Amino acid sequence: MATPPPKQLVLAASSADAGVASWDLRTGAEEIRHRPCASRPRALASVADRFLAAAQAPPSGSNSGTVHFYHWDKPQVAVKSFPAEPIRALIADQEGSYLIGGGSNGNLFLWEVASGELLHTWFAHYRAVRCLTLYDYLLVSGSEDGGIKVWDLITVLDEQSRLEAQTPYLYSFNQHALPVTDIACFLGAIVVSSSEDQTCKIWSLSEGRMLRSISFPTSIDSVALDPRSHVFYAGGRDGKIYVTAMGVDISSHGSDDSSILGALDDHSKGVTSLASSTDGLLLVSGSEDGNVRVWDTRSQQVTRKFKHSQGPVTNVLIVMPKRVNVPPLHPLRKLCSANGKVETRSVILPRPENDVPIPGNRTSIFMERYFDELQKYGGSSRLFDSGLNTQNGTHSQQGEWKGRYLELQDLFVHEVLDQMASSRNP
Amino acid sequence: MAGASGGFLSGVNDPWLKPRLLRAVVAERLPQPGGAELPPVELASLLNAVRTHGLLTEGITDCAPANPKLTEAWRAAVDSWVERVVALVESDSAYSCWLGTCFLGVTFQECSNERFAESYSNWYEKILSNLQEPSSLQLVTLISCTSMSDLFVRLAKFGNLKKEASSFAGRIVEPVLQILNENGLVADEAIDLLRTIVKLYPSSVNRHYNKVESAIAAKVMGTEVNVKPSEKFARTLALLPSVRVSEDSWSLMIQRILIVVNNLLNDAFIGLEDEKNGHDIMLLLVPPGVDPPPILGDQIRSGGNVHVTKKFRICTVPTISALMHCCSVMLTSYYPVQVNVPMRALVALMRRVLLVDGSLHKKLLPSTTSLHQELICFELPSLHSTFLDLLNATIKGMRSQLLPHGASIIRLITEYFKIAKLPTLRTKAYSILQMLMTSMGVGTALHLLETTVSNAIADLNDDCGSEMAIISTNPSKVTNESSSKKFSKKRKQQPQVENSIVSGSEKAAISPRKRKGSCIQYTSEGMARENTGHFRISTPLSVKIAALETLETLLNVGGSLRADQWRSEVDLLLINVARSACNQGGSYGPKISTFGEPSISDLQLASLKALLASFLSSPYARPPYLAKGIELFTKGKVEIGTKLADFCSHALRALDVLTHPRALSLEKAVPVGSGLNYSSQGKTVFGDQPQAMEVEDMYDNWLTSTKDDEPAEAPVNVNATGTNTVGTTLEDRRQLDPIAEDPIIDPPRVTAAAQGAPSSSNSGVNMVDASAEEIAKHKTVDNPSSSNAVSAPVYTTNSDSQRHTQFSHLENRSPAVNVPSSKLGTSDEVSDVPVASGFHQAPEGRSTSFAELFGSESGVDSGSEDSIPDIVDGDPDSD
Repeated sequence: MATPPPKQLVLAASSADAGVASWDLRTGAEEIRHRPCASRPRALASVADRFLAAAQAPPSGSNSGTVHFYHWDKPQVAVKSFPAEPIRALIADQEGSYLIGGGSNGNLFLWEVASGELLHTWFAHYRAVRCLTLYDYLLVSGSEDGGIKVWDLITVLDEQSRLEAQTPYLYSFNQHALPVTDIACFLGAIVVSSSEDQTCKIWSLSEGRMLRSISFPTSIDSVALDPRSHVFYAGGRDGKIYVTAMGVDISSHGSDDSSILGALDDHSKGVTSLASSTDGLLLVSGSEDGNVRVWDTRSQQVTRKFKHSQGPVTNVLIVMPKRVNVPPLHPLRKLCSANGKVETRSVILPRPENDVPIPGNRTSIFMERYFDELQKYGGSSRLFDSGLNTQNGTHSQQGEWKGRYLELQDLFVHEVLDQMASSRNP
Repeated sequence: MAGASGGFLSGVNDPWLKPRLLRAVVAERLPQPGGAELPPVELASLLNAVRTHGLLTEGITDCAPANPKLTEAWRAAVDSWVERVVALVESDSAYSCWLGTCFLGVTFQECSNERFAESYSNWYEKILSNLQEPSSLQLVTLISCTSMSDLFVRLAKFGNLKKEASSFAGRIVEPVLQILNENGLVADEAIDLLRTIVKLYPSSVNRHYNKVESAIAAKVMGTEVNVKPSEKFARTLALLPSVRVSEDSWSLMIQRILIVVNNLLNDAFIGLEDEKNGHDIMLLLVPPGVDPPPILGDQIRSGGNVHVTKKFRICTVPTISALMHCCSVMLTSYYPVQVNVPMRALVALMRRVLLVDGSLHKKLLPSTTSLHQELICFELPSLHSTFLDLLNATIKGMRSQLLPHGASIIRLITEYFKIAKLPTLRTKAYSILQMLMTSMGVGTALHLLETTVSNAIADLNDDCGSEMAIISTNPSKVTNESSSKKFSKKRKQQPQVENSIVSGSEKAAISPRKRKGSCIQYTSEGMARENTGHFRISTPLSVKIAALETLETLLNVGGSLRADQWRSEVDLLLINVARSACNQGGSYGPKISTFGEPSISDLQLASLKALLASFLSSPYARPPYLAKGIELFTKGKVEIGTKLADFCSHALRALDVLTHPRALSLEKAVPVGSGLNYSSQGKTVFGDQPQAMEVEDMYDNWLTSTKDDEPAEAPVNVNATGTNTVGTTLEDRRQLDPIAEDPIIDPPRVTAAAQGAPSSSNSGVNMVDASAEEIAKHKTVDNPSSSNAVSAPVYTTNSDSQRHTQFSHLENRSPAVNVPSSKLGTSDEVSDVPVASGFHQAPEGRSTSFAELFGSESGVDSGSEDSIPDIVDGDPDSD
């Protein structure tokens, strides 16, 4: 009996209040719709596929944003949080231990999911943070002011390291002339950023510099990487998704061909968000026309089209919901607790894979070892003679036998046990 | 069925064989109750027969039609076996009882499900009576514990018997505790049984929880057990929170353990640390205003009447290690609910112990005596080892949750490296570096870069692995002590390089040359040198292997991170270590290997692994020592049947990407590193080079001549002409030399590849040759003076002149290549422009339109590529 493959869902959220819609990627059936939710781009995050977090666009006129958590199987909001400023961009780390939000005033917020504590908040950009991504624990933030900064979270979270560091950030890139719209990172510490200045730029985090810049005929609002990392997809405001080479083919030096290899085009309005499936065969795009399209990347055709709402789709995600017992969710705190003295709640989640089974067949192991040992010491065990005599013998004899017994016991048994122990836990 | 009637069998697979064998075993070989002792050989063969043939399984699988006669016969045979075994157990003879219990334990494992479900309660009672009978022999008690444990393990597979099993488990707890408390010798097996019960039927222990806890705590914290069993006790103690599953019970246990350990340390570390430490940790564990939890093992006042010095050794230290082992197990094993870890206290406690180096704290307390200090120092390694294990377990258990404490742990381990001089501790400290880097990724590598590189270099850079290993207590001094007069002048600067990681590119440029001077020297005549009275100390193999593994991890995680600061030195070191390790392994002569210690082949494997990582993570288009590395891998591959050979063939496969500079079409995976990294390297290089030259002149002249006139590939040509061993040494030096200039080598190489790729008629070999020549030419153009001084004063040997001629030959040829390559060199920037010719055949219809659209803009792009120095300026480190 093969277990069915885990269900893959396509999630989509809109800046209009149309909730988070979800469709089964395989069957195309619409599943639960989480309401309410109105999110700006890059504000929807799946927390290690355990639950969903979405930063809400502030209602017009107000300057307070909220962050909603949703459980997979419940349509309504599970927990509402009220951070200090509206959150524009939201991501979670791979294990779902932390949520990182970029505020509309340019601050970054780092929350611990297990407790909701705000571990640290810091000023990052002069204008709103538009997009975030994580490579290991290097955080890359892109801002409306065109800047990209790379933060080492280990340094950021530690007071002493912050003081020792020359700059609060690891790198600061200012090559983008207009707001940075999306960032994606991949193997080998390579980061791709897109911007309204009609370029995508490729950065190396380990070298701390720009590797390439690629120009497009239109503003690029989103990027997604093919998991094989040889191409990335850039969603343009003109409705096309540009297939772009990551590397340069060295054999074609001299020619001034662009890296743009082709485009996926379904004559839609601007492409606002992209998500690539883990096998690289499917690409999901969200468009301003309110549709979500699933592309076959080999045939470059639309294989499915989901209608989300009238409003523009701002976020798409591909998730594999893990229906595990999520410990109670805590709302994200607005402020750091006083003097940072609070004990962070370092938690260990139940990990069944760490369970060590109790070894069976101890008796046989014991016997095998024991016989081996006995043979070494003369072929036959005298222990039982001595044992019998101990029971029947006189007191003085008993003492003598006992001594001998203990000696032998030490000799045999502990050697046996040591070997057993070592054979069991090599 | 012939077998049924006792005639001939159809073969070894005849199902009738089994009942017949079993009948024979019971009738002829199994002793009667009260019978004489059997020789162990006989018993062993009996056990073997039962298990090999599966005589007790009663499972007729391959006999398609169910044969009631056969089933019946087998059942009868097993019945008689069980009957006999039970009779043995019930016998008055201790030996029979022991033997019966043994075979009963085997029966638990082997018998069919039906039989087990039918008779387990009966069997349980039999063994229980063994356990309860106080007069029974220790061996009988021991085997009873073992087979009882087997019974429960089997029973746990029957979901429908859970209730009964649980009540059985509950009944056994008391007798086991009694054995545990009274009988020291079988405590080990008793605790195993207890652990099985706690693990499988935690609820059954609930009633006895306090008794169980105090019994185990007494054993852990008592004095009479030696270290080994108390680890088992610690593991059982770690399991106890699962008796009452809740977030609190787990946290409470770890809190109580930490309090006990902290208190024990208060006494131990008097005068050796700031006396506030203990108090501070206590505040973290029990915040003011909170009631402290009951103390673990309250009633135990262990070692009360033992002398204070002895008490520390036989009581305090083992107790601490057992308790910390318990913590480690708790942190890394499964617990059904999410739990909180008092991380701050844990980190503080680790810090407290690991940073005690035995020196007196500033304020010398009158209570500290030199005897006490000596005592602590004696035990310090084992304490450190325990806490390193704990740190390891913490990293493993906490995973991403470690992040807020990452910096403090990184600081701790960095500081600890200054203290860790003993091989075992150093090895463990290295493994923690590896763990940190793998768990938290490239950011950690950034912090640990300096520690890793400087320590690994210090450990690896003595004589590159001597078999006559004498334990070194101070690896960083090794190279100084070992310096011979010949090199003493150059060696003077060495410690700086080793102890403080190369801070600038100049240092990186010098050090390889000096180092190589020593390294190659020893590999060629190392043995002779050791006999000449220089008493040499070298780092133990285990430490070297750990250092290599750590470098490998570093290269994998952050190989191109701030590469200009450390890569050249590390790459050189790795090729040297790998070469000398492989040379040693192949040489004849007595190989001394201590039992339990890693052998030279382990060092070979570790060094080759690190070498592969260095190649694959090279920030340059072509790693500098690729040719030599491939030679090593090719040699290693021949050692069929060893791990080394397995790894070498894997390595060669992995290097395929680098060895065949084919233009991969973009449809296939383009290695990100090689495709992207070459742009604009010329710029940084030109900045570095003059510095490197100057500094070299300052230090020594005799190697300068051979320094950068030979590219990495060139020795391949020289080798082809055939050289003697001394010649190889020289070549090595030369080959290993140009490290500082590697960045220079790279751009032309890439262009060479670029040149070679379009003309498909070029074979791979030709391309390599071409690139080598070009590089050679490049060098001569860059440093026209250097190649003239080839005749080195020290080694004027046959092969040297040979090489010289060879080289000049190369030079002579190079002008032919000169013209195109210089063109290519200038076209370097051009090729920075994003180009994708390998791909544009396929989607041509689409891409051409874009190309037209952006034809002008790609020109702008190439302009922006030129602005790369601006970006570099943005890097805070370059300030």
